Amino acid sequence: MINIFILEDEILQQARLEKIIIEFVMQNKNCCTTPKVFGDPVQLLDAVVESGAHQLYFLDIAIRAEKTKGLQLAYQIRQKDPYATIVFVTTHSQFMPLTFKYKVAALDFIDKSLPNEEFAKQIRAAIEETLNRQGKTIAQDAFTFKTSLTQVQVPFNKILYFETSAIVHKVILHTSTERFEFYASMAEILKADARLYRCHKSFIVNPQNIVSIDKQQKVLYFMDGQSCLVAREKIKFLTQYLK
Amino acid sequence: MEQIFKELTFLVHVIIVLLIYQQISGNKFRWYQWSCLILICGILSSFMPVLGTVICLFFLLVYSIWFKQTDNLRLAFFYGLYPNVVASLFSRVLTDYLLPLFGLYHVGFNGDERVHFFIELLVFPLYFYLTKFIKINFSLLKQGLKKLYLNQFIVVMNLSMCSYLAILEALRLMRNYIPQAILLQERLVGIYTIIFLVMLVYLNTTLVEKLKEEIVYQKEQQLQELITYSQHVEDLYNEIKYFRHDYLNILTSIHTGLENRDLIAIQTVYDQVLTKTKEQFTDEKYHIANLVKITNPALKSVIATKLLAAQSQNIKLRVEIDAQIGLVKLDILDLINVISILLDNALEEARLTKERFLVLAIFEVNNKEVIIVENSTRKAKVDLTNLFVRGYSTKGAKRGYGLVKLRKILDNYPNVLIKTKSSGHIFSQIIEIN
Repeated sequence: MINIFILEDEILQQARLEKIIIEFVMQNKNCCTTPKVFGDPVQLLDAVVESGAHQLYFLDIAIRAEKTKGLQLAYQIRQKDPYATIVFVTTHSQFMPLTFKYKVAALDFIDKSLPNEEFAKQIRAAIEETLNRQGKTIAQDAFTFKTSLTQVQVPFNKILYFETSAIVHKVILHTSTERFEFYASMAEILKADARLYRCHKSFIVNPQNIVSIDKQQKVLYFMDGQSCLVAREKIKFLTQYLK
Repeated sequence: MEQIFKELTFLVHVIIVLLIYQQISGNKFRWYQWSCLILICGILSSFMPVLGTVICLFFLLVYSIWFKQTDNLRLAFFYGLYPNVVASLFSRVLTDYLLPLFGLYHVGFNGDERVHFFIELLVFPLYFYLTKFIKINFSLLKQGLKKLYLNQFIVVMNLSMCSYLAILEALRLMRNYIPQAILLQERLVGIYTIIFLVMLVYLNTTLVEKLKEEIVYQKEQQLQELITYSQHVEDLYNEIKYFRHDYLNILTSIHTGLENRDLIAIQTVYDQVLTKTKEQFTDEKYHIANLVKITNPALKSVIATKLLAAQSQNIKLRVEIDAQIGLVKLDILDLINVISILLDNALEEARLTKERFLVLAIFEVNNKEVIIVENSTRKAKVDLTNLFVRGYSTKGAKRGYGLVKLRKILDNYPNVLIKTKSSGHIFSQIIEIN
């Protein structure tokens, strides 16, 4: 059962949104509680008692005269609840999906000025996506690394390998879809998770994601084709591990 | 007594060489490195004076090449040889030509050690003021050398410095076998001093000229971009002017419709005219107007030019700029280069895709300034392993220098991190500035 909250100060828009959601709830019994509508962010925040991926928020960005009230509220919600689903419902002129996605991990942006049909479709899609997320385990096995300079959090099973860079103490993390840098020493990373293995002077790998080893070239291959070097002495251990 | 002066002379010689090295290469020694080096040299000079001078000669060469890891070997050689040559030339010119004018002699190894010490003390001040007088600009020289403008000339200079030192040393070693050795040394010093100073002046003048040319060129580019940008802004303004004109007419029509309670007339106006207007104003042209929030005019116009180029190639654009963003933590030239490279790359790839979109977002969060450039890609996922490696490119052979340059620029800023993502046919580059 997901809880839906709406922040919208214009009465007409409130009604429009409510109508679509209530229709959806009627068609899909017991998927969500009746949506709670608020015109004021403070009141909405007060009404939030639970937290988790089953909390769904539809927020307008401009409330009365303040242009970024909705965004500020999103920040506050995120602080209390890192897993809640936030969807912005706003006018096209304030469309900044990339920015907001980065800032508050918003799920989606829906344009208020869309014709009803399209608008409803997108709202329904957002609710369905939230329902989907319910199924997945919330406590993910994450590799967390925190220092005074850096904060990194990545699902462990996505990690392929870490690489040293030309800059002192700068390390590059490679996953199958990302590559990013942060400040740490190789030793600190090894300490952060016992499953990580130092296979070469410049590389630390996540052995779980190795698919093959080329002993001649001294190269390790990961599932998506990426590769890194391995020291001769370490090949033995990793071959054993793969068996 | 003699011995003490000998050691002091050597000490001063070492200090001079290190100072000149710092000046020409920009690599500063820290206080502990200073003390270490002086101590070692001091010890060496007491026990093995000959070895001491040789080590002094080679130390800087080795240091430049090994420790400082400059990609450019020629430059490393230059940094290593230059201080030794300068110290040698100046002290010898003083010994052989200038001081004898005042009746002070220090001939070979039989001279007064105090005179020798006195000469060493004079070397650095003489060098410093002479170069100041002939207007050698060391900071520009350093910049120019690093930009590798006169790479080949540096090789010539290196060879000449090498030869000078080699011949000098040979003559010194063979002084007992070659009768004229000392005289030849003096001649060598005389000739080479002139050659060296000429080369130095040439180096300085040419490098300064080239740097100035580069600045002029960039200013011209900037001007061009500003012109493009203001042209664009003027076009937008004209459109708005026409709209305003039409708008007043439309208001009149609606007013009439209201007076006559003619709903159909009002409906017509809405359907025919106003919906068209909505389309017009949500047009991406106006996205570029978001650039208003960037305070730096040079940056603004560079981005505008690139985005306009994208638009003309039918690429869907989105520009997200959040509030007034200053972006002052980076040197403006570096910032412009970084954003240009990212946009160029994104454009090149987006052009070749079906979806053809490009997004630029600049905003601030948690005291971090963030720049994101996102574009559509042909492949669902791009291999990120060799992204910043020289010569690697998805565009064919002999390309792939943009991101290497980007990497080099950002390496100078320890507070900047790059994050790259590629999945679902979307490629993002995220630059975080702390």
